[in-house]
Amino acid sequence: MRTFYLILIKHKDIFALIFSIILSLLMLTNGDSDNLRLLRSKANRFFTYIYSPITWVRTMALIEEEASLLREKNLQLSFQLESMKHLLAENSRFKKLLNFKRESELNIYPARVINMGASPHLSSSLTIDIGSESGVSVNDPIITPNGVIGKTVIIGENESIVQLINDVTFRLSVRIKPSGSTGILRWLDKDLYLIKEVQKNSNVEVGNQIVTSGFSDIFPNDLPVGEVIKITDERGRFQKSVIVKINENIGSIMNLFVIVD
Amino acid sequence: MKDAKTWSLLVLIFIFQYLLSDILTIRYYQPDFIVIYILYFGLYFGPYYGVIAGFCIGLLVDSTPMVSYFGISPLAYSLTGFLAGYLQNKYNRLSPFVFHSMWIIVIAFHFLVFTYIKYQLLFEIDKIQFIFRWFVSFMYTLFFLLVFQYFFPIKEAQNA
Repeated sequence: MRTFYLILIKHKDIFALIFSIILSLLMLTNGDSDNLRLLRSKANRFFTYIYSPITWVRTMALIEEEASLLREKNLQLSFQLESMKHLLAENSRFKKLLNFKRESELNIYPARVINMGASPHLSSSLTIDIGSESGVSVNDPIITPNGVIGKTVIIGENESIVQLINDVTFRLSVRIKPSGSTGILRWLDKDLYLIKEVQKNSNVEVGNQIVTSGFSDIFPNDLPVGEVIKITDERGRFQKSVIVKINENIGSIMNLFVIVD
Repeated sequence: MKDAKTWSLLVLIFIFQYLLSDILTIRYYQPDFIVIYILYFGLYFGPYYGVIAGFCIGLLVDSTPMVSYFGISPLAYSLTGFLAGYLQNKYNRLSPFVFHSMWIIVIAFHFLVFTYIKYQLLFEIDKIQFIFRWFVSFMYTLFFLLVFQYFFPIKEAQNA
């Protein structure tokens, strides 16, 4: 026992390293356990409080720019509204003819970004200011007017942690329009995303729109995602890769929406 | 640990990184002030405290909103703290070129770990781009480290 103790003291740096590696690996493998989620939720609440001055500064800095964008958007939308009124009437007439029933009603809640990750390397998550009290639950889709940007993963009472679409482990089942080809979208680099599993004979072209496929239990179908900017067709493979640019600038998001079941 | 100020500084560096690194972000590259501090910490206090400091600050980093790979920062920072600690009091034993090369390699290795985790898909598809991402992120932090070195030379940090 004494010998072991002496070895421990002599090589305490190596033992400390081994201990920290084991602890880190345990955290890596049990990151989704309930206890750890609870702990992270509590820590998140604390860090949100610390981050609040930065949130305020960011909001103030963006508010002027956002207001002018909204004015411009408002004008565009008022023009669109007129034509849409006509389309709505036409659409409801066709629905009656087809006896169409809406599959689901989406409840959308607005939310504000109140905290960002501190990691200089893996910052692909953020905290929003609504949680279980507003009816938000795990795996609720997060969208902006430009399309899908993530899903909720850890829920607190009044805040939720969102996994962004540019997270390394995020996967999104998508459909390429108009061909209807489907695949799994994942983050590649900067604002570029990759869909690998697209059938080689599918007719995909640059500029095609990407929407959610509706195959997943999380995301409803036809939510906008992005646009095809490149197609790579490798010889000797049965599938081709499609590179997509998403519509939203993830880094500057301050306001978003949660789709609640 | 004699110097409680150094531990307080560790928390301050974390808060600095947390609150202000966003301002210094160029395109998609953020400077990593924490690794700079862990390097100095390891060099000054040795591998044992380097590991502890790295683990603690890594835990703080991962406690902020971070979804995937919870636990990777304690692992990477404690490893960096350990390797930096092994360079303690080595300045006089090694040639300056070898000594300086070694701490640069430690930092480069730290960035390689994170770059691989972040850009694992890019690594599969385009290795040149992957190396470019790693190199740029590493150089950006190295730039701050070199500026910092001007005021607090690394050889002095380890009582050389």
